[in-house]
Amino acid sequence: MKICIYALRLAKGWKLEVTLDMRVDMWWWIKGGVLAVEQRNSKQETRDIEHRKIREVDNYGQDVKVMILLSNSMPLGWAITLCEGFTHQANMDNWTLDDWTSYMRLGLKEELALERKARGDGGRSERELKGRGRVVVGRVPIVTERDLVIMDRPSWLWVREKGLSPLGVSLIGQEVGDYGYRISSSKLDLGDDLREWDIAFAEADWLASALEGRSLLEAELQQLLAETAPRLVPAAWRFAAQLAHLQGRVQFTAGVAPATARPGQAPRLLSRRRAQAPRCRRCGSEVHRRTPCGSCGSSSCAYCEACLALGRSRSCALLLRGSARGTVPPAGSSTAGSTPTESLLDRWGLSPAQRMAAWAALRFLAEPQEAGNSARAQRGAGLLRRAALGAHHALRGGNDATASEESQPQKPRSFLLWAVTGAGKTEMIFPLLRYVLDQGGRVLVATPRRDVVLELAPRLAVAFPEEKIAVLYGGSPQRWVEAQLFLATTHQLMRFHRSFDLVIIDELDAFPYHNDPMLAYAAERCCKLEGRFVFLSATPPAALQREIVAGRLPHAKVPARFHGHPLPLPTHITMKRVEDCLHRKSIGTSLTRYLQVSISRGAQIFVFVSRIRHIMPLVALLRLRFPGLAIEGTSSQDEERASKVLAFRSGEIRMLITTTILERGVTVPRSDVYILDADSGLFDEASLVQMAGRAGRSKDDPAGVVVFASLEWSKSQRGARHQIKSMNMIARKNGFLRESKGGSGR
Amino acid sequence: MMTSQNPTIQNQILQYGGGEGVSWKTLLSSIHNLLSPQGVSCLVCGKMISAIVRGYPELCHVCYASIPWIMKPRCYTCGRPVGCPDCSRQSAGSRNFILNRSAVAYNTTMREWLGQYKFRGHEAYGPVLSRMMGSAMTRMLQELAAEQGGASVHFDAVTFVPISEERLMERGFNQAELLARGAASVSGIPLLALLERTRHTEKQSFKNRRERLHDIQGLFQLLPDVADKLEFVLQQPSHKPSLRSRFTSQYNVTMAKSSIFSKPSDVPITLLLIDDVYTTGSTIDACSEVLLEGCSQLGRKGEIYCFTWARS
Repeated sequence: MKICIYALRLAKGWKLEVTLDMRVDMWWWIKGGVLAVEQRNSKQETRDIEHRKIREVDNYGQDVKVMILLSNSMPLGWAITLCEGFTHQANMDNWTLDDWTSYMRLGLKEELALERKARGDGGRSERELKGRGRVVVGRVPIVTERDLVIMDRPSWLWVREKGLSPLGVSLIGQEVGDYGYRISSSKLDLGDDLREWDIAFAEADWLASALEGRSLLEAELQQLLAETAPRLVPAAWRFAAQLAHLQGRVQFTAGVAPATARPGQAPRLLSRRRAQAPRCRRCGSEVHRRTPCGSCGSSSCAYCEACLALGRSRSCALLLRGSARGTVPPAGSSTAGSTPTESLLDRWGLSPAQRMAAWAALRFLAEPQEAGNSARAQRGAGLLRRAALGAHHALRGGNDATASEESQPQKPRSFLLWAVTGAGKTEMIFPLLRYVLDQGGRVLVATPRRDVVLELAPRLAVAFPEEKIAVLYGGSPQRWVEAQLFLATTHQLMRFHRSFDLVIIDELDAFPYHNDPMLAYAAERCCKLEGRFVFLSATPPAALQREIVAGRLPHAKVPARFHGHPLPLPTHITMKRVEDCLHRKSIGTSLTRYLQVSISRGAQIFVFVSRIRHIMPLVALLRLRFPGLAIEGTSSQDEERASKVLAFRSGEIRMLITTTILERGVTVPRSDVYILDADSGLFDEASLVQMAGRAGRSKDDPAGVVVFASLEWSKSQRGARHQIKSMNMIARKNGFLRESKGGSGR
Repeated sequence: MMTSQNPTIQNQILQYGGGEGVSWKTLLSSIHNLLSPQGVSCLVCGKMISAIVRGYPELCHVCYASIPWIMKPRCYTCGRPVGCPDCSRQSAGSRNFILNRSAVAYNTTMREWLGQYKFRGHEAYGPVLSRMMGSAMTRMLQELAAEQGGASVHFDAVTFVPISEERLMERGFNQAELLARGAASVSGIPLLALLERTRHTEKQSFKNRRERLHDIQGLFQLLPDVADKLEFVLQQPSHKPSLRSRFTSQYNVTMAKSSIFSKPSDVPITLLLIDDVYTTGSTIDACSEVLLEGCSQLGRKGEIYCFTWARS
């Protein structure tokens, strides 16, 4: 979109502002300034309603001397760039309008250069299309003219000694049409009826609270308004949003903006910016694609390809960030009722192992945040990013406009619940949720997959019958529902900003967090600065394990499954590569022998392979070898995957050949697990542990068989076996295991 | 639109084809293919591209192979690849366009591609769709030429179905315009914006047939400067790549010059109208009706051919 940008001289210096409705700003600054001066001079209490409203904000008393309209309609991204790069200079008081023009040209040097480049040869898309040297007639005119068409020229709006300029008068006196408000130019009043003001402020109030803790693009705000406030005149949102912005309750920025723009930076006009790709301020990704845009008129408007699924974020898209959600007083210290007691754990029916870990997590949540903790706390915040990126890639996107936030000492802190596969993680988070909810906090449970959300939602509803739960995923009907308890897929986190007291992240190491800085960025943003993270994982990434070893990450291990039986320990058998087996049309005797045992004991058999292309030939080979047994294969490319998994769970299919796609989240009673080519580079330690974790999950058949079949006994296999073994050992030491069945732990 | 600040006709013509020149792009793309770094991933499926498809470096082989090109339309009128009850039912006189051709059949895959481009705003699809229009355009011209016994069809201009100002603000681009650019560029036909919407309507794809037909009444109108634009392109030397023009450029110019003067006003203005999807044909029919009206304002008859990216 295009937006209006103006400069104003406050007592403390010059300032650039963008506005959705110039009339609101003129009223706010001029009327507000005049009233402030009047009041200071007369010391007289007026009962003017406008006065009352102005007094509520901190701009009160900042008498404005001059207002200059820099551009009535400029691509929003440009305006934001100018605002964020702006610093007051003393000689600006003497600047002419031409000086302001050259200031803008200098400030938008890069933007204009890109524009010229895109236009000069007809734009990239056009150049591609020009095909065989064809000529484009009617090429856009030379850039300098167009700059001004896009940028508009500066003009005076108001000077305190002289009053409104003709332009100012005409702007204010403008027919407002469907905006619903009328500001009369003579007195800068918003119409004769004072009720209009009350309505306008009420709407701004409403909008500001709807945006509290949210980060929404304009298009998303429109959807929210359409669904939750159908009475608001469609165009009136601009008025309301602008009023809320002036009150400091809603922050305006661009969906995509230069990575280096930093408030309070040395005058950017002189410093040479590094040629860095801009970044998406919603998801943090680098943005590389620029296209001509009909919405802002720029020929080189950047858009983010990474988070398209949530609606397009682009340079000229208005991103509205509400103020952070109100803080819940840190638990523990002051109020007596907030200290958790172990009795909080009683009603959830936890196993001893679950109970111990949940208690540790509860105590972590109750711990007050002291100033002395800040260094440690700060460490915690970066963990998510490090987990996502590996230790050495710092997310450079962190240094955009919220750099000031990043450097704040108070950071979200994290706790890791390291729970083995089948430990019953969901039950463990219930007491944590309950505790924070009882404190009046907002909580979010984020999980990577939509089906997990859908499966978890009814369980949460049963556990918290009195809470309103918002369940968010792509296409969810509850998209704009407000609640205290949120359950969401990870992508939905991008719509929140400093919103939650507790963020629980399920399967931290799973796609899509793993190696996806976008979601790490979103997760970090959605938590309040003083909020906490609890991560759940059966196989925490190496970076987090190092933090644990270094004693920097508070954590609790849940070494035993809920049924109290040890994890099945993988057995290794030597086997030729699957490739060779398929070639020779034989799977070898040792594997056959093991499979035969599994079949005859009536187990459901998972066979994991490293390559999708091995699946179908292997299915054919195994069907020959075990005639009469229902054998199927499935992969990410299989449209019937869901139904095959169901059939496998119900026992209709006895043997399922698959890839790591089924390594998590699938619980099949009475199952045995075979991993072929277990030495493949595609299976790391974590995925071996996860796959092995498919076996023995049910109470009725806790001792499943896990076989690593490979030519070599690789490091990952050793690591996985070691991890499983040591978890069993810890469990035994703590007395979490039912000793009657001690046999399979060896 | 944006260009309305510069009301010269020259500027209103979005693109003009010339016939000459070696294609740098063809040259460069083959070099580019050789040099292109490993590890470009497919725009559609995200897998690494192992072998580059000629002309479509963004796509992997599998995704390219999934394009359901319409090589031979079954229905002469609407270009459907399967038998078409609609066109046999319709009385021939009620249609305002001569025929429609489409690049591809509108199956689930194509719906997904268009959805990615149009609704999600993944504009990287733009060049792909546009190039698809280009190759299908060549095919269409060949088909029509074959029908007329080898004489190629001449279009005076290419135009496209407009979107509303509100939609342009929201979406940032008009997909039909981009597709039209693709079609115009291979054939060297001038591309003109001739139509506008009178009102903002809900997305067509959410409506049933009856609603669409009702909704379309009076939806389109001519832009104010249509007459000037058409006059302008009609006065230009013909850019039709006819067989004759290949002899010499000298000859070409004289032929072209003589053709303006000799062009009697009863020779119809032929326009090629572009849209993204042909479903019931009601949109392009309504546009054709308005375009015919525009031709008659010039005192000429008009012939509207339609060319859409997909036929459902």
